[in-house]
Amino acid sequence: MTRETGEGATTMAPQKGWIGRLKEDTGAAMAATLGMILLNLIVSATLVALVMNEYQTAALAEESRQAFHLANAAVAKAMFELQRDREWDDSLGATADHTAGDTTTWYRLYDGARYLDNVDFPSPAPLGRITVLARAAGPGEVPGCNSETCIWIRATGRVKAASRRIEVVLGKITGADFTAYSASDINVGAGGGGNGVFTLHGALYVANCTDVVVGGQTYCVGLNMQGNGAILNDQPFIGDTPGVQPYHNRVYVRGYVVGQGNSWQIGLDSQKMWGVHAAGWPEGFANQIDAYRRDDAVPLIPFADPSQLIADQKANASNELVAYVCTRPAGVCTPSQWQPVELGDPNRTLTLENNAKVLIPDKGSGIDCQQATYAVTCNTATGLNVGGTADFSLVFNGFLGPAAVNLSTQRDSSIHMRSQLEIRTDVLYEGFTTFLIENPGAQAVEIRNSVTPACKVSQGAGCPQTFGQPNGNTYAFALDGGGYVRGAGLEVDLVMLAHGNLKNDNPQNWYGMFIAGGLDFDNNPQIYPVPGLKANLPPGIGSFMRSGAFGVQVFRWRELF
Amino acid sequence: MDLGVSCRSGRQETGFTVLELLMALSLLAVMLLVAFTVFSIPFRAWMAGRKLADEQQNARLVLEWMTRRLRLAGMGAPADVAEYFTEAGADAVTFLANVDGIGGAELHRFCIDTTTGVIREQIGGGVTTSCATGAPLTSRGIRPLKVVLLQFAYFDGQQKALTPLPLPSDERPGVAWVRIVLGLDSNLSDGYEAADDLTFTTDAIVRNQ
Repeated sequence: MTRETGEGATTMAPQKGWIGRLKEDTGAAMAATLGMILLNLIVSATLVALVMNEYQTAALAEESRQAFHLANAAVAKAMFELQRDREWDDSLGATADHTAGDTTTWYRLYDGARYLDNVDFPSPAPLGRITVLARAAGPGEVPGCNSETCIWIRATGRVKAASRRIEVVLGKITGADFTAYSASDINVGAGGGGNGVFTLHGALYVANCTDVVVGGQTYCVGLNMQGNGAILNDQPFIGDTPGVQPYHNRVYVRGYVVGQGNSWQIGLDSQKMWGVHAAGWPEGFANQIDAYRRDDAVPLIPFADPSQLIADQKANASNELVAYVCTRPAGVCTPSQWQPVELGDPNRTLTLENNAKVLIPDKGSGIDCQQATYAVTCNTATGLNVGGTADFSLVFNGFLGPAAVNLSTQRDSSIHMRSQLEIRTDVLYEGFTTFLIENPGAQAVEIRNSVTPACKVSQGAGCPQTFGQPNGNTYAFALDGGGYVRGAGLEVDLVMLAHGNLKNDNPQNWYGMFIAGGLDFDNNPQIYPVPGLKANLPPGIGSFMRSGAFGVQVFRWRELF
Repeated sequence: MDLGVSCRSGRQETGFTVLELLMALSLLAVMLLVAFTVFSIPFRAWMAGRKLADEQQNARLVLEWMTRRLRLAGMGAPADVAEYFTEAGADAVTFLANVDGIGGAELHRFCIDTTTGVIREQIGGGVTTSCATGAPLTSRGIRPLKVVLLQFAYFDGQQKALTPLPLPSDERPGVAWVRIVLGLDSNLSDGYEAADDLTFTTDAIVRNQ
């Protein structure tokens, strides 16, 4: 290239690289292109941020939902573990981390392998983690609850960043929570040959069902209301205040409820049952069921089989396995006139009847009415002679007048026998006693007359009630076989537990609690609950149910926000 | 002096010709047009999807709010009260529940204020028969939530529908399930219509029976 110097000469700059040229280029296309790229980057980044935010929000919502289900599962897990634990207020089993009697400290539930504290759940393919904390219920926190029967559970489910908590009160529910409990289906009117009318003024639990064809369709029926049976909510349930309605009587049936005819009724329109819980009822039958709540949620409450109770308790019975009976005037006999009844013999029957005096000595007392040594002791024995451990477990005097207490037993004790017991006269009893009758017969106990304390429950406010009350007079019969209550117009104030059937055949009034392998009612017995009875059950029964024959139910439910 | 060479050399090194500029701008315009055309369809789809997600999110939040409280119906209610639901209407529900964990159960009412298109919650002494007052249930607010429909249906524990609505007092104690239907207005201010009015449904199971 030629170069000239001087005015007018053009000087060429040295050749530059592409970066240099880029720095000096001033065209708009480059700027516009760069601007567009920048704009696209900003828009893209914004969109990505929004998408990510949307995704995270949706993911969190889903995780929250999953965490709630995990918390629910944790409650179910707690129910399962507590169902397996006989005692809730000890430091064993599920409550191993608990200090007995402590109602304020939250502790970790134990499932047999680990404490349920932030553990993977479900274990094979964890969705998240659960924690189950428990606290014994304090007195008065929940009506009817105490540290032995109720537990607060705080269940937490966690899935990644999401966490949900549920707090519930779980409680034991036993046969003692019902006026009548039947381990098998109830077929009202089908048994006994009667007309099938019966009236239950309280809560009922039916634990089983059998197939019945109704309207061409087969249902597993737990409660078959043939005839004019009725179950009413007209008497206060446990924890209810008399006169303050509605009461809380419920009907639980592990099967269908069906009825025949139009005259049966469960609850009234004016006095609905608090709940009727059953597998279902065929269409068209529900109009005879009046209840505030109706569903198919029926907790499994095992049968408190008295055979097991007898096996557990009989070694602690207070009596000798022999009774002495005198049928001479005024119950005064010579030693040879006292007739022994071997209570260990299942083929014998001990009969309480008019013009008979019956004595059962205390275990270890050595009393033998056939021995001259004890002639005075036996002939003069009264209800005052059942106070210690060296006299009598039972004194019955069938020579007393109709208004007198004629049967006395040692308080807070149980009486064991393998023979049958037959009651052929009105009995007014005193004592707080469980009769363990280890007889497999269908009539291990046969009751032909009233069996009540001196103040019958039916007398109401006209007489100081003692049955089922603290320090009161309450009898319980635990039967290895069945019980038969026969005789018109009689009243029984009793707790009756029967491995077999409890049967009746006449109009009667039953007050108390009736738990049986089967209930066979006829001729309109009226069956009533007794408020307070659950808390004052005769020896051994309450603890037997609480520690072995209970279901677990949710009493309170709330989610913690 | 060779001006031609000098001038050509200067133009080449310091700028573009008008023709080049026009060509570049034209090319850019074509590219932008193509890019806009290509991206507008997915962008519209994305906006529609986002709007739908918003709708769902809004509905989910409101339904979640109501469901979590309806589940607690009966919690802390006095023992002699059988009616946990004191109102069970087609577009409003009132129930007793101890939601705050303080004291006993208080009344809660969910209803729709059709004037402003919001669902309101009235609590305790704030419960009225109208829906003009009460705290509105709001969403996270990407778009304003406008509710055009709130419907309740009631079932007993065996999932049998309870009728007629509003439920008479002797039917209300049997309420064990509540079905909530929520309808949102999608025809708001923007131009990206995702769908017509959207409805969302959920069930709440009453836990305190």
